[in-house]
Amino acid sequence: MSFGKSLKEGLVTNNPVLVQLIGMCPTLATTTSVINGVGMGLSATAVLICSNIVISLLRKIIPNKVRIAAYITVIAGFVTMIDLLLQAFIPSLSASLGLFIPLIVVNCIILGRAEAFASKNSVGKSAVDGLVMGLGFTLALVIMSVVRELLGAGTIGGGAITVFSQPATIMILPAGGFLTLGFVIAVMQKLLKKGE
Amino acid sequence: MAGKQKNEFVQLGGVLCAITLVVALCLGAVNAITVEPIAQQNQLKTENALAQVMDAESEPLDVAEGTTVTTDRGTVVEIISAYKMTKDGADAGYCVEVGPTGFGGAVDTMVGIDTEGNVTGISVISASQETPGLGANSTKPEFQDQFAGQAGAEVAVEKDGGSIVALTGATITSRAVSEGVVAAAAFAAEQG
Repeated sequence: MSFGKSLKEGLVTNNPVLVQLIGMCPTLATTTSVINGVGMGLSATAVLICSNIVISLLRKIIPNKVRIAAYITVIAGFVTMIDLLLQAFIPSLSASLGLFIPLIVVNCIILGRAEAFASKNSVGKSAVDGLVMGLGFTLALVIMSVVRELLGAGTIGGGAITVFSQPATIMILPAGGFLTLGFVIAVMQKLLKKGE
Repeated sequence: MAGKQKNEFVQLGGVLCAITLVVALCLGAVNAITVEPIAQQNQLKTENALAQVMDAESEPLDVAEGTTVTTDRGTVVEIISAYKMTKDGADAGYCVEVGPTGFGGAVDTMVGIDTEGNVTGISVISASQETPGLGANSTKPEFQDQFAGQAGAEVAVEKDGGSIVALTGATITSRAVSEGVVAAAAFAAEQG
């Protein structure tokens, strides 16, 4: 499969959040501002690429019976590394994402791709899969966070530009997350139907 | 049969052990690289907060972990750290870092208390567990500036009969910060 085709699959036709509907928890929780959304998306992408590569490398060594334990160990290792690196070098992002970085460990996208793809495919293909799925996740987070930040806080780009001063705060609260997710998925489905 | 099963366990355990060992080694390496910068970042955060609340020289005090102060309203507030402040050799009061419980967890706040027991300023170091757009606004100067100049022991939000204008939709966070200030004043008074 060519890279372009994979990319289209990850971003649109098989988008992990908007089509596969996995990884909902971080999607709802971290999309209160664009900076958080992008930070979460890229951190998860980095973990996903690394874990896909390593799991693909080890796919013939890891016994089937203990594969989930082995995957989680590898994923948890990478997440902790990213967590420490963020704390050390991008402390502001680490502070605003807080608990959600360690929770990447249980992000189903990462375990899901390990199980469904990396454990069955070559290293190169797995790395590409990690990249496109990670970007798909990031894209979904960016769409969600742009809508929620604009409507809920009245700003664009993490408070850089104030658009209006009487925002509908509910949009950055949990209820607004569900509302936004529902509408975004509906629009996505409509567009996908049209494309067929 | 039994021997075969045993072999399988050894093999499964062995592979898992090997993977865990390698991951642990990698983590150790990353930790060794990042431990210094993380400590520096935390130090910097505290120093910035100190400079923000009081213009004086600081000297850290020994605060036992788990030290708490109970305010008159019955709120238990954790004292995270405390500093003895001096300016030009003269006693300038204390800076106390408190962690009152807000809506989602501790709201880490640095409070400056002068020798009279008045607040010189406060700085909310981290409100990342508060609601974004509501309680998380406690890190903004508009909110924090109200505390400067108040008598530390009497700080309270308007709802509780004080003069602190609570953040819109975040009374719990505002109250937590106020209680934190009261606790800091009590702690400073105890030190003499």
